[in-house]
Amino acid sequence: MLKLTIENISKTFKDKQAVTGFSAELSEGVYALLGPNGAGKTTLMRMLADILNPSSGRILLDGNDISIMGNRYRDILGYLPQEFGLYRNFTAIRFLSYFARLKGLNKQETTTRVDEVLELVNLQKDRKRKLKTYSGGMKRRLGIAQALLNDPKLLIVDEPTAGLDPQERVRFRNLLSEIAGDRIVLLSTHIVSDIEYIAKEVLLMRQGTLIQRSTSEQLLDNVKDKVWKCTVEQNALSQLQKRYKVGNIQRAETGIEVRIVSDQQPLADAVNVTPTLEDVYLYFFNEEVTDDVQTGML
Amino acid sequence: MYLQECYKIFSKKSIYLVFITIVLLLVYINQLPTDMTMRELVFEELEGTWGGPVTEEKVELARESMHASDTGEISNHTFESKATDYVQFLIVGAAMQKQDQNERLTILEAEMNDFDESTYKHRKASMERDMLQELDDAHGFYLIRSWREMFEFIEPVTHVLLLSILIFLGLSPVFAEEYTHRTTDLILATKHGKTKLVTAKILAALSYIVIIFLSLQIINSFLNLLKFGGIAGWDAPIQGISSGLDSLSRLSYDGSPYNFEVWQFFLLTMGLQLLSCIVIAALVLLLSFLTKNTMITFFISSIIIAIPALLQQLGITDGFLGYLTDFSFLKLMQVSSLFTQFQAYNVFGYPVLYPSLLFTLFALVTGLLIMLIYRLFRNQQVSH
Repeated sequence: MLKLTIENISKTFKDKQAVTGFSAELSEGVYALLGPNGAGKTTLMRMLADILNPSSGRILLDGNDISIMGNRYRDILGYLPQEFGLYRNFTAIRFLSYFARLKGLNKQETTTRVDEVLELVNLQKDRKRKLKTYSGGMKRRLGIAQALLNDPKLLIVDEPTAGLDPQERVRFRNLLSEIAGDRIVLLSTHIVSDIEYIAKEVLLMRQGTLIQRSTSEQLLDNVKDKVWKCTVEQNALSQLQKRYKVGNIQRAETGIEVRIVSDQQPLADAVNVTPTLEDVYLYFFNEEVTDDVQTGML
Repeated sequence: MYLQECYKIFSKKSIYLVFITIVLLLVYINQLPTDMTMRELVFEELEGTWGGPVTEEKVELARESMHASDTGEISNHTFESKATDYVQFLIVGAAMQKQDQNERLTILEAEMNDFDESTYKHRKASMERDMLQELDDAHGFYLIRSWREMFEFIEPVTHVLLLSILIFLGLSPVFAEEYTHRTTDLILATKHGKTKLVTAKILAALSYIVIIFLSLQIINSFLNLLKFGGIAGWDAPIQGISSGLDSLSRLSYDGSPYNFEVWQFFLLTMGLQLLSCIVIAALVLLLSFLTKNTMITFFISSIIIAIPALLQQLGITDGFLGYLTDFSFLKLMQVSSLFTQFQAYNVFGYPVLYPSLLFTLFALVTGLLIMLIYRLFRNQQVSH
């Protein structure tokens, strides 16, 4: 059974500590890395992708240091960064064939695998189009396809669904569920709904440190009896936002329906509701859920 | 991987645009009218009379004939008479070169007697003497068509300029574009993205250099063969190539101590020019990686090539700056200029010929540059 051990790794950029003493052990399954902007998720993922060396600590795969394993490690790795570019004059087939060779696939494997991943990300029809004509979502899907080319045992994907439409998001979520069986998948996201049903465990990160690691259910238990719903007048809303962690806001016939995360009952008519991972996010990071999160609700 | 790297280089339209412009320039220069070329049949007749190594009889005859022409005893208004005048001028010039060579041999013998065998001066004089003695009867008149224009494009400075533009244009983006396209994260996380990719990029760059260099040489040679009418003189000594009336090139090999036939010298210069392009390519690739920007790479590469030319123009050629000019990328690319005279440098007490030293040093530099590219690319971190 594959095991990825992150041993007390830290990363410092000049005077900024991006990751501090992060330790975790991951075995096969989907892990979600959740945290606000600047939490150090991308830095951590770059270190795991072997494109950034930790300032201290080490990363082991089945007991072997990945900095020593070198290309043996990258041979089993699939990586999709948060931001990446493509060669504008390449077609999807040329792009994937190029990456297949970079990943060490031979000519025959390349042909077969390129077809397979194009099918997986639903880009077969556009495989001969120049990438400069691709939309943002199509580029993202192509990025996912390249990460899957070598059938990686360790898949690291940074914000994989950003820019995808809801249908593609579902498709990708299902794809991750299907392939996660015998491999480690680590994905970072702002979009809580991406991970709610597929993540084996959620790693919460803040200011470069791992603040909690639990299953979705355990996380939800953290906020059990702490999520409230009530309807307020428009003029009371801003006051409420100052005092409490206010999540979803919805206009209703009787006023404004708000979702509040609070240890105490915020208003007399507030009723306890079943928590979601979005409430967990709000509870831990004290941040209003971003647009991505809201659009990610399916 | 190699093919895709080639595709990245060769799919740039700007390369073809510049290449076509250069070819048109070569065609334009080539078709400019010249007063006289050795294509004319009259030169074949003149070769029968005056051809081969210079002799005292030929020189005497040439002097008499030139004197008669100067005093108006012989008409010099016809093409034939002009051609005869030209050939006689070459014969007299060759005789003077031979005389200079003999005088130089005497000086060298004296130097060798003055200095001990273990001294650098003795060794240097001995080396030059041996080279001059090997030349034997190299000076004379030889019917050499096309060749003198085939050693470089148009003339040495234009040659460097045209090749440099094509090299910079094709190779500046090789590493830089990975950064501007933001593909480095993807590449470096792949199995071969840290080493084999560099090999593929270097091989693709080499292929580009070889293809553009050979294409331009073939086109240039073809144009000159058309203009000058053949490859006559292929087996003549290079000392038969002087800056004549029918050539744009100011290069003259009549004082060269190198014992080459024209065809040997052509192959040698082609080989060395190709090597010099490869050296420049290594520099451009490293800069492309370091600057991570195509335009900056282009700009810095141009400055590195141009600075020695600027120093020369300003007359700053003494001391360290002189060495800097002599051992510059510019001089390396002006291969044909390296063989016009004897020039040697003191390396641990032994004289080493300038072209040999220059190419040995730059072979080391190229090795170092390529090693640096591999090392830096492999160890780079993505933290943007």
